[in-house]
Amino acid sequence: MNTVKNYYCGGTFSPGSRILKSAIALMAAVTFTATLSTSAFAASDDRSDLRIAMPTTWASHGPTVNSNFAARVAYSIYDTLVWRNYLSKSDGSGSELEPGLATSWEQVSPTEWDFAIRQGVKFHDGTTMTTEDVAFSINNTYGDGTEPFAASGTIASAVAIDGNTVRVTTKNPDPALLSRMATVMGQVYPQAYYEKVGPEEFGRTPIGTGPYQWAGRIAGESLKLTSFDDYWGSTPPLNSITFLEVPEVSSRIAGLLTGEYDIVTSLPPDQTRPIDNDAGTEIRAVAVENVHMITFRQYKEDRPQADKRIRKAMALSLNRALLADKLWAGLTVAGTYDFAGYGEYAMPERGALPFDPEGAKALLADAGYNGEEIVIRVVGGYYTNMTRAMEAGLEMWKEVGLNVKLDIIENWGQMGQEGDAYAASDNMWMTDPGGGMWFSWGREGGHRLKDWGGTPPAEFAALGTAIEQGSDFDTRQQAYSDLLDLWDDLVPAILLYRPVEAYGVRKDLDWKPYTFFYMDFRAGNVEDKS
Amino acid sequence: MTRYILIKILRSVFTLWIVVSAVFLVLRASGDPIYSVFSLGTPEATLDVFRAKWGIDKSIFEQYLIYLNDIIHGDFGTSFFDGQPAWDLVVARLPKTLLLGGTTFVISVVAGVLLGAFAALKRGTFWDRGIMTAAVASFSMPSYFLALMLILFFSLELRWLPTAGAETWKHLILPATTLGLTLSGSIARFTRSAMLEVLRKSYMRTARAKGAPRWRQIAWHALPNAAIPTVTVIGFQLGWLIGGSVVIETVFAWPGAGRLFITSVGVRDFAVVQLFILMVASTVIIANLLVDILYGYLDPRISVTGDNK
Repeated sequence: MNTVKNYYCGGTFSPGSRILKSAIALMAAVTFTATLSTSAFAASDDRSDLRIAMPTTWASHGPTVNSNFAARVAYSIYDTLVWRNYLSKSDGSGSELEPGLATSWEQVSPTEWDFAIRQGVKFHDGTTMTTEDVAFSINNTYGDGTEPFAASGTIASAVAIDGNTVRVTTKNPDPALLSRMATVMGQVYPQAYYEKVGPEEFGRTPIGTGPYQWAGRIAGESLKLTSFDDYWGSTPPLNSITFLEVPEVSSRIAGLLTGEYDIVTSLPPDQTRPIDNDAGTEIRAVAVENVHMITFRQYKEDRPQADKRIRKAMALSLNRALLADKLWAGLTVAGTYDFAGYGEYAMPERGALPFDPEGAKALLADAGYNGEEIVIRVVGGYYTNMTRAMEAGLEMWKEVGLNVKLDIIENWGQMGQEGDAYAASDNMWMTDPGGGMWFSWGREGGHRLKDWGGTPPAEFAALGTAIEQGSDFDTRQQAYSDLLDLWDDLVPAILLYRPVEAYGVRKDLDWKPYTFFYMDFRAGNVEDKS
Repeated sequence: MTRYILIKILRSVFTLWIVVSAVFLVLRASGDPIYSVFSLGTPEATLDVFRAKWGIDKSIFEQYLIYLNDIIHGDFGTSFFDGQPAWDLVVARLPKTLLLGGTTFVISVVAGVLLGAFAALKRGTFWDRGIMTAAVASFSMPSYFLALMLILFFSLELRWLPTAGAETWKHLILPATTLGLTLSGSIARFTRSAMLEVLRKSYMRTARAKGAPRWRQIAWHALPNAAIPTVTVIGFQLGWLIGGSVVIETVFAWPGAGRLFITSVGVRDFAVVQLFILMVASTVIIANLLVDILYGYLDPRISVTGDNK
């Protein structure tokens, strides 16, 4: 049934000296893994074998795994019902929704959508995708119960009506359903195989309809995808893609410069100079659809941050434009929850969040702030640049008389409920304002509820519901605008900036990063000109 | 001799128990693994299910008893992160660690002993001073720094060797050389001083007097007698080798157990960390046990003293 091949076999370690040979004899019981480039999947054509160095690879690539590093890979394994065309804007931030595994769709009632399913699409195991598989996938992914799947939570059911159509019923009118179906929520995978092996094994040997199929993983070393030649879309432009684990930044950079890797990911913006200075490589960087933030523990009623004037003063006295510029090498701007990916809903005219130390001082005086210490917890090294941003922030807060202290901890397990605020980040998730802040703070299933201290005000919930269920554009956009205003007034968190994902890329490789962590190697976004 | 070895083994088991218990307690005092796997705000009910599944819902003392009972029965637990038995995960990484460690060990012992002995025989000359300066430089330089220098020179400048990874035999050269150089420096210094000590002994004069050829004087009479301090150092270095390889595996993206260990500590993957420490501790303890036993053969007076006690 599962014809996904494993590339662990084949090839031998061929040491040149007797010492090495005897060392290997010692471990003959365990197969020593082979040269990846000369695997069982020797190039059958002249398409390139791409090599990508990342800090780590993930063990599981199941449809509900939510990790940045898994997402980079899974984007080539799965297709979604609706396709978000990031290339509909030249900078890779496009949000046009186009047919994917669904060829068309129709809203048949306020809560019912019929999707016409593409016929003859093959899964990697050779079976043909059916409407049953589609209905199963949506129900199963949604039923997983973890963020962001549950929080996208407007779906009541997905049912295969016949061999061509799947009907998705929502609990309430859901104008953002198409946008949801362009995220991981709309990925389709084979029901029979999933049920046969179970979710854990499925994650270790995933099967989708995407242009590249799983070819195996060597823990701690690499994982490989190979071209799926029965792909329903344009022929995959690469023969294979190998994702290699190279945890050290300097080793990734060195390997790119020597030509061992074609792309390296996760470069800190201040360490890109060797690549800029090299004639054969360059940096391609994007600000991703995520925002770094300092989240207040508002529920601690006897603490300074329970007063919204003090939260607001902390936000006003932080020069976020300066932080964004200096820490991210001018590659990003100070962040808000409004972003271009919302398409016509976006409101760039709102501008950047203000920097106003004098206003901050006035608010502090008004609140009667007495210099009480405000502690911010930061998981050291978790978010790029976060510790440095906060160290700079301490000085800015001191300027207006705020007494802020950093508490750097080692891991999320130590976070607990200590401190007055903590460093976090949030993804936008979808191309509709029904994601973002409403997802995170308001909606049931959103993950910040507990830590931000109980439910947001009723007004916030009302506006969020109006965005989620609103029937026309004007109503929804007005509600969204009001929600942004309310956020700015309440300051549940200080929004910092959109983080930057910087890739080092071989210059003669045409490939464009998108404004999310996905890496797209479908025809149209990759061409090897070497 | 048997009693000597038995006492050593009993002490080793005791040491192992202390190490295992300390790691068990420290890990549990330094962070809840549940948030390494699940994002903040996952429903408490879900977290409780996993806490129960992983056995971290019980009291520390209960967990400790279960843990001891399990390892006695050869069950080293399941990785929280990966869902696979910790034993499988660690053992899958061991071949690469052993390959790197073994190669390093051979390089460092051969280079260290030869250079150390050579320096002793050429005492006071340019060779002696040169080798000893290089030895001090090699073990005082952080291995991380040395690694980057070697990558800069052999990979980026000369383009002879790959920067990182473990796909071909060429990938082994730089990490093994980095570790081997660091280790051989101290072995060379100890060998040199032990040789100098031995060369002054009366039996060396006797060997010369009876007309033994030079190579026989060195290989037959000097080296075996200089071996005891050298063997001691090499035994200690084994522990260092494992510690050092954790750093070097990261720099060179060498997929050994050391890197698995670093990742696992980061996410508080109890079972994997505990098993790894248990293995490292066992290696060091067994190495020292072997050194002790080797003493007995190299110098029978040592075990005789043991028996008299």
